[in-house]
Amino acid sequence: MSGKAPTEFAPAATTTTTANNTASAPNTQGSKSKSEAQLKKEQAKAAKAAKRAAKKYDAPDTPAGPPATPKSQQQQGKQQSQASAHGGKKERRGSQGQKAPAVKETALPVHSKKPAVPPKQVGLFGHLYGMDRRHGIEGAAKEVHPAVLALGVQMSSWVVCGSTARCAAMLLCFKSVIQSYNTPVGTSLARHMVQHVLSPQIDYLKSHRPLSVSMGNAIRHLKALIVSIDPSTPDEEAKQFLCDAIDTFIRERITAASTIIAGTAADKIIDGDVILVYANSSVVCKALLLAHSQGKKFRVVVVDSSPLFEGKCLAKDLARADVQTSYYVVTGAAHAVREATKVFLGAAAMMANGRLYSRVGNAIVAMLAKRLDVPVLVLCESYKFTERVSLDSIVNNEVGPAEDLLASLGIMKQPGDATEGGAADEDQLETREARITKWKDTPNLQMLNIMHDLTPAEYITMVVTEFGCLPPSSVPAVLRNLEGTGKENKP
Amino acid sequence: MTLGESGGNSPDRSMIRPSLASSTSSYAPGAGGNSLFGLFSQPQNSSGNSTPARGLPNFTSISSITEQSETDPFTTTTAPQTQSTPSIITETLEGIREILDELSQVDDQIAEHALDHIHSDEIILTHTSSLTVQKFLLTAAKKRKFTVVHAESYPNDHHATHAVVFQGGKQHNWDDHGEKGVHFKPLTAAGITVVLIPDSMVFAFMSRVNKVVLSPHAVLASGSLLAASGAYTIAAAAAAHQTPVVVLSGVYKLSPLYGFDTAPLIEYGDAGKVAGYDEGELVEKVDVENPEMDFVEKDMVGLYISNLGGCAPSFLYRIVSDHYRDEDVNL
Repeated sequence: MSGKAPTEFAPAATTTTTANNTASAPNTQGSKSKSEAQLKKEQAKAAKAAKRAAKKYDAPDTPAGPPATPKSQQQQGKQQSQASAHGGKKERRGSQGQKAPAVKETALPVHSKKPAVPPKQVGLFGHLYGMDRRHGIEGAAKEVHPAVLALGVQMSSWVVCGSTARCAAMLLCFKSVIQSYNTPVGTSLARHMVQHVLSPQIDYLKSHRPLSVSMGNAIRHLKALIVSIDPSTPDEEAKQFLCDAIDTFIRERITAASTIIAGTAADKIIDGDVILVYANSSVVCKALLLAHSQGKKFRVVVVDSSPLFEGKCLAKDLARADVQTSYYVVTGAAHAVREATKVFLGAAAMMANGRLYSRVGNAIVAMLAKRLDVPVLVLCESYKFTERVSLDSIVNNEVGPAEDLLASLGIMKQPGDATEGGAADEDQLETREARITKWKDTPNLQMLNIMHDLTPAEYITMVVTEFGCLPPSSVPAVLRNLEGTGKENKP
Repeated sequence: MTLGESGGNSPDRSMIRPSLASSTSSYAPGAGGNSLFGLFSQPQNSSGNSTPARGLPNFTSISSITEQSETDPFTTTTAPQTQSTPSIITETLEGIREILDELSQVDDQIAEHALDHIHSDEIILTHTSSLTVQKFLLTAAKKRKFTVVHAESYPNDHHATHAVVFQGGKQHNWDDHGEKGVHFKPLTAAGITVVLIPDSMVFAFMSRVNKVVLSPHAVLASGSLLAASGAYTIAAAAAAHQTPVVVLSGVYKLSPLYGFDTAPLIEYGDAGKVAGYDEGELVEKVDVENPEMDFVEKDMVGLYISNLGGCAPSFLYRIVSDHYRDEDVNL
């Protein structure tokens, strides 16, 4: 979707059919999400004519989806002032583009039937769809740092996928952002940086994937530090302070914490244990490898699921270290849990009501383990703890691209052809593309690919953090402790 | 039993698989004189509950088949040898035809009960490509609007599941030697919203599901069942959310076994489906496992619907005893 948009824009800069092209792009967005279009219309109504023109000029820059968050609107507002410097020709183009989407949308048959909910969005999860995911770097705001640009693409292509990896990678990128920052004349770093430098980066990352709790916590930490810097501090000194602070965060809250947790968890493993793990988690992997290096004799059962198959990476890592490993997909989870003596789960977040928010499928494993009285240990660093409370996996979640569900079909479509190399790949791609169009053409057929689920606290025996082992009910206590120490550390 | 397995599995695949629990008595020695679903020796004595007595269409079709069998070259050539005594071959053929007849009709008979169990705006979760379930839901879809959440049952049945969800299925007509069939539309064509989900999402979605519909491979006399892998997870998640589980099973899937030791009942399939053979490291060093069956305990099942009607899992032993003679069960 977003991949197609730039090709439409490419001629827009040179040819006379600019108005049509600019019009078609927001429209193709609208065909995905009507609510976005409505939001846009409302924005447009409120805006003045000049602002409108500026906004439309802005639109080609961000074809992957109009910003829906207040922050990104701020970003737009900032760009408006820049865009208004441009000539009246662009204003005209903008005003034409403004009208076109409304006309085109009524012309689309699918939309005229169901104006409220786009047909491929599952009703119960409608609030989670938000904007279309960006998959490339085209149309990113010019403030976005190259390192962040690359990270965004890595995130949306699942190269950087886990909660820990995303948080650490983001912080490292922010370090380069800070290092290349120079405070403009007439303002101070503390006042300028968060809004004008950090926010565009964060918005760009958000447009690729919603922020994880870990990233949110790290950003909050960083913002608090930036704001606390004395405006009179020289730039170099302030930048050094921030970079050191980021390094400290990564070292203390991520690396050291996972080492401590891995040590604690490895202590829980005894000879003869069968440890069941779900998907992939860096801390769980660390704990298992540590226990193995301590000479403990145990076996690991990896349970995995389509469409991401993160567990394959873990299974390979363990196999490389000569840990005896079995591998199941989640349909066989009932059998896998029967073998297990302990379950180790990684976390995307621990909710304040003791529930575990993690890769979808963790709840299944925890539930099955509870039925068989197998202890469930959650390995979670404290920077993933959040004040938020949640009861089900539906209110707060992340919707992944539904097309990913069809990806698993291509793998074994023609097992005979697989040996033929490139040609077979093309065939499989074709079948997949055909399936996707078929899916889009079939009314009433929806596919849902949510990324996380919520494991009830009663399925969790113990949460292993760097502060020790706790029952899930003690998550808010840890948060309170963290708050206290956070205040002390502030300069 | 290979026929009975047909719900979604290609016949050639099921041919090479080991026989299931419910087939034990079918292969019982000396079964010629004893009952196979009460069909062979004394159909007039079979209880009112047994399969053939229930549907009148059964009898009409039987008679038409017997008439056909007179002209069957196979029957006519063997007829002279067995003219005086009741021909065991004719009777066996008759029995086989009747079973095929039942297999063709069982889905429709189960589907008749659909409106008794599905209300408007319901969210129903199912998995695998079972045609019994599809028929059941399609029948309800004629009158009511509801939502179906379909878990794709990766890796053993997801191709077939996708096919059923996208294109609908084919109802085999075993009377016609399993070659012809009636193609039926997918649920989406009947105006039903179908949501395809990966199996890992079952627990996340279960809190909003009103009913779970499962199709077993075999049903044991205890009320427990064997179904495609993933069924246990679904049933357990349903139990955790107090969601009723409805099991659609023809009487031909009933087994006199009680299944105290469940491990031998589980079939293991091709590990290559779980992790492809191109993934060298996994193939060499990791034990890749692919259980094809799940054993679902009776207390996780709310209701059985067979072609005879609905019944509680605790009552199944009675239906089993109607259909299996003691001599067949206790060899």
